[in-house]
Amino acid sequence: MSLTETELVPPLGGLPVTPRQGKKRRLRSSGATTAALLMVGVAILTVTLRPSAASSNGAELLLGPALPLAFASLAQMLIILVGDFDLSVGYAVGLANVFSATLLTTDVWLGVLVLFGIVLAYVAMGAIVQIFRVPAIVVTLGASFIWLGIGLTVQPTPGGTSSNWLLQITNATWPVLPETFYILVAGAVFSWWLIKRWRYGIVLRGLGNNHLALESSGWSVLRTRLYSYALAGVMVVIAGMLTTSVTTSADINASATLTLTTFAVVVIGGCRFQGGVVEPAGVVAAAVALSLLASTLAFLNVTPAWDTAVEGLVLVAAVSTKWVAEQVRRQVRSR
Amino acid sequence: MTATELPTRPKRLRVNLSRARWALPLGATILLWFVASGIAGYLSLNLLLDNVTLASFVGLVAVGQMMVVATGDGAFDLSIPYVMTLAAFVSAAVCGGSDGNLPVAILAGLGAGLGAGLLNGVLVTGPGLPPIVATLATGYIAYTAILLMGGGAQLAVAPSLTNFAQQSWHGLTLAVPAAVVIWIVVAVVRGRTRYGVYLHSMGQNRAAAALAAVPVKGMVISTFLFSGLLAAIAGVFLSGYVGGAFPDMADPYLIASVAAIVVGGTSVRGGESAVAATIFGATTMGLLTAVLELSGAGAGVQDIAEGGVIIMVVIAVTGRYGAR
Repeated sequence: MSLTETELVPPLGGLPVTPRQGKKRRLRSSGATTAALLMVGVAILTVTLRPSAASSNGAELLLGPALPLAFASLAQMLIILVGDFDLSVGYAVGLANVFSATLLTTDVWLGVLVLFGIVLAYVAMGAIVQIFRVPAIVVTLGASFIWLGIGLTVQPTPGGTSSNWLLQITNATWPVLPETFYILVAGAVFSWWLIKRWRYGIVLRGLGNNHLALESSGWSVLRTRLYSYALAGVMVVIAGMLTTSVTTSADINASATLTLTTFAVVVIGGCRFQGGVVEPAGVVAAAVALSLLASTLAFLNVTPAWDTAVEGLVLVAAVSTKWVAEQVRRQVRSR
Repeated sequence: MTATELPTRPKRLRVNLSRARWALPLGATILLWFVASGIAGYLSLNLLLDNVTLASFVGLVAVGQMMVVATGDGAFDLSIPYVMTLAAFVSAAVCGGSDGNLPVAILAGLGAGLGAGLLNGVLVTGPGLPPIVATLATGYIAYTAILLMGGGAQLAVAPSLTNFAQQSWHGLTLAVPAAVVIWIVVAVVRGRTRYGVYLHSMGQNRAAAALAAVPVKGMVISTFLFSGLLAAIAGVFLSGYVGGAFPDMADPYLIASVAAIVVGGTSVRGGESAVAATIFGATTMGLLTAVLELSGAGAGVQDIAEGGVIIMVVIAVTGRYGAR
């Protein structure tokens, strides 16, 4: 029933519009706008509560936790883009964190090798999903325990340290704005380019949108899926290295709750869970908003126990708002 | 027998082993029991019976998970470990460590499980959250409730609940017969009722089932309620068995519930269910852990092995039953 209903509804831009109107509409309907507004709102709230947050040092400290979350969410976004889910992203980032705070500090080349191994493992997950046609949920759930097991074997209790050059990455002083800000923008711009400008980006989107159409127009579904998983693996490694740089220690369990948070970030950022539609800028903005929200709660003297529930509630609220908006829009249109 | 005569019902007692899905995991269980006994140096029946008790907890939540998975659409209930713990905490908080109002406490625990299941079902059927995201969100909300209730620490359970749950006969506790009764109920419901037909039809093709007047949304909510209730039963029983409710008591149960289904050979794409196979899947995974522990493997290696087995078996099963 609902399937045919949605197909019969004319698209939002059904009537001819001028390019200017089109741009306006796209901006209004884009999920990235909501995420950006949320980010600005939370930032204003934070600065009102703690004026020192606006200083260069304060912003650096507050934005620190947003770095791993933003890149982990970009990894999740790349997997959701092709229509899959990654339940292993939390532990995978944790594993990259463990590797970069232990092996990478003792032996750079071994560290680079094992970190590259994570990217290869992501490619392998993509291959298993595509070749054997097994649900990505099961493969990534199984894989998450492999990451956890390897992480615990390498570093059973929290420990390790960050090498100096890695520490420099998030602690260098850049002109005008805190350096964290530049890294976040770089992540957003790079992913935006990947998905919206790179010539293979449209193929990635096509796989999530309609894999049959992609297949019949002669593209290799396997190759496309491997690209998306490999890129996600790269983002995971970056997120893990940034975790090391920010926390200067290795703790695989610290990243465990990241998985749900990435889902919240991705949906607030304006991506579609069914795949095909993603907003890299929105994802980065949502990651900043959510990590600022966590600090704001601490400023308001809310016990840390609430953090996980707040993430769950924000996720539910975001999806419900979207759903209600959709219903209202449909009502208005059918009138 | 004439040629026109229609084939009659196959004889009940004859079992076609190549088609019995439970045969393979049962064989794996027995094989692993021999391996474990080989490591221990003698054929230990207690090892098997201890495992059966643990598998009965896993088997309970795995059967709930199985119902959710059978609805198709990539549905999984990731809130199971949190709901188990929540139910244990709620019942422990209500009885406050004494036997006074144990029945009320147990009912409150089961109510918490049903509440979480309802939240899952409403989130999935209402705003259309993907099941894994909805159940993860519910789980995290439950986890916060757990932390707030116990302050991050352990809660004492009623002594009589502990006595009841720890009463054993050669390592077989009362959880086993209780689980068997529930399994039989589920097996009858899935095999012999309209509910079972609806469940499998919507897992095979949801659009077709909806056109055939299957109440799809109600079915989805009912499976989540079911999974929540079974998780709550297992959680309350487990808190009695281990003698307390603590925040991460049910952590291994998420992967175990999925592993039991996968190792049992049931498709994770939905549309099918198999109670006996899932239970033997649970015993297989339990004995695998026992073997690894006996051979002195660390926690990390055990995690790697469990994850690896899930991925390998899901590939083998999909290869065997073919992609749809």
